[in-house]
Amino acid sequence: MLRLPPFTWMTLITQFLVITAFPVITVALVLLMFDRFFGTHFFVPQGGGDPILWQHLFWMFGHPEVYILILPAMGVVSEVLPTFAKKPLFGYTVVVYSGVVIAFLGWSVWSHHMFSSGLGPIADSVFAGTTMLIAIPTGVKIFNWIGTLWGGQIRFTTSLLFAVGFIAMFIIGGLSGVSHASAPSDLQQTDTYYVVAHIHYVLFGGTILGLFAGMYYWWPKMTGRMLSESLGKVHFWLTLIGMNLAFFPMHFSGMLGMPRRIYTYSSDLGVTGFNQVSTIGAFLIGLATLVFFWNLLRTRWQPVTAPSNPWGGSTLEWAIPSPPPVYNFTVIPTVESRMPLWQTERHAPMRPLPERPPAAIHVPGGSWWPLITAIGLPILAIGAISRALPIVFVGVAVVILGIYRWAYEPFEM
Amino acid sequence: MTHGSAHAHEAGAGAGAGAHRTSMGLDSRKMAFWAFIGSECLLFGSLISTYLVYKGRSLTGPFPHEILNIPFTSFSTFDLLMSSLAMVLALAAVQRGDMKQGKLWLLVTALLGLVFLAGQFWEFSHFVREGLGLTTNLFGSTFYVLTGTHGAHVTVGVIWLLTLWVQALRGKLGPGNAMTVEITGLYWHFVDVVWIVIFTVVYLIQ
Repeated sequence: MLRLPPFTWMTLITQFLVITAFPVITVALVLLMFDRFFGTHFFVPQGGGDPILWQHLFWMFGHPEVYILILPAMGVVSEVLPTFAKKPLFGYTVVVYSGVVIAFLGWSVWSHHMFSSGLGPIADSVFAGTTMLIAIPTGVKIFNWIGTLWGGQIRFTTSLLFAVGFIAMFIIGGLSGVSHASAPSDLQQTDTYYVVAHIHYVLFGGTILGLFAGMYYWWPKMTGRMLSESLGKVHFWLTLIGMNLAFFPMHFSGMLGMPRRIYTYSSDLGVTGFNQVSTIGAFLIGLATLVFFWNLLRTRWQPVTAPSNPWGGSTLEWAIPSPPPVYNFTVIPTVESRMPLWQTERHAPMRPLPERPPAAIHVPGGSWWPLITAIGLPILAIGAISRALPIVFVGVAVVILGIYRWAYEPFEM
Repeated sequence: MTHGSAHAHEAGAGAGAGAHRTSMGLDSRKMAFWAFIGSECLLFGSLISTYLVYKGRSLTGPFPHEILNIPFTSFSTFDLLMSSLAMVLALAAVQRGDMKQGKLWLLVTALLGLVFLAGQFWEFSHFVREGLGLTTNLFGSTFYVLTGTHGAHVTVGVIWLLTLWVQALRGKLGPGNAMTVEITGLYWHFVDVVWIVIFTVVYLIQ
């Protein structure tokens, strides 16, 4: 498995986090629903229940969830950097294993979201310690990305700019994150804009920039049309300037006492200037995103056809036409190296695939039942949110019917 | 269960409904099902943790020791364990192509599951008559939600088994689909193991 592309690896790890973290929030939401609909007291102190249990269940899901958000973006960056630096990913194995370690440690840090609920010094110390530990595999990855760029023949495409932006912004978010890991310092920061600054540097500066890097990288593969590089660069610089204007002042306004989730504040607080800068930054981000959508729509009106490997990438998807045909690979290729399309020290590049499959290919038929199942879920959720029990039951019935028919549907149409 | 996957391959050639070959030597449906069981462990783990966190924190009665009937639930537990045995016999019969026995044991497994559900229904209605409702106290809330979730899983299993039984009656189930029966068995045994944990935590350790 150490020949898998890093994005595939990170997606795999993410799926393990998804299937293990979501049941916990499912239980929390079911208990909450019982409190709301049927009058139980799971989280209601009057009946002996404890709101802290809600916090535990929520964050036991919530912290793995942040790694569900960031690991795929880390995988994207680990694909984009080698292509545009014309170098293999530095320390591939270490990058993969740090992803695994992050996922494991991600399960042991949830209470650092709850330092201010008064868990006691022992719990606070343990969770502070595990939280600081998680900075190690994350830092390892950052050094590996820098090592990948080091001495490479770098091409500053939009995709690479976003990937480099990811590294820089994620470092800032990571550093403010380590400052939360210390319980005494976190108590000063809880529920202030400092936390808002942190989450936006890791979520926007990390995940979103990483996803944009991936969009510019794979859009030609997905659609067969090139995105405009010059519009892309406008998009990148507006996004980078906008996000720093919006989120960097929040460190200061937060430290000065600007509370989060409250729409107004006293003018005596001295944060008016910082907040105004943040507002300007937010509008710049909005403008940048409009440029991005314009760029996407442009590929429809003024199409520039993408070749099968526009960036000179090394992984399998670049061996087939853009967009990939319905049956992507005519034969399953034998992959002998991590960069099957590049000539490496030990491996010759992969032989080109035949244009037509040698024999008839069995393609599974389509099915409506997954769609029916998916339609049932929002019905269920809308019913639960609007406290309409009959609608919840309708949603549940649709989901059950969908899953049942799906499970017993023959493989072949 | 190399035996089972070998059959799945034969079915793959014959019926075209078999699994793709994987480099792990493990049928991908089985792999996916083990992942699902891992996910379910977290679901029941969260519910059992909630039960344990609220143990002894009910403000009003009835309390567990006043109401839980260990001899009766021991019978239910025994019934569920026997259903696992029937499930093993059903899988073995289907794998060797003995569909007569296979149909019998599938039906017996489903019926034993129904007996368990009937026991749970009786237990719940008995508790309600004794004054323990869902909202009476934290014990009631955690007990009903935990054992009710388990009961829902048994119900799903019974419907699953009966569907297989009907398919077998129609002659659509054979050694070629042994993997389907094996996965049903994985689910059934998992639900059984969860009950053993619940029985220990809720009933035996009061």
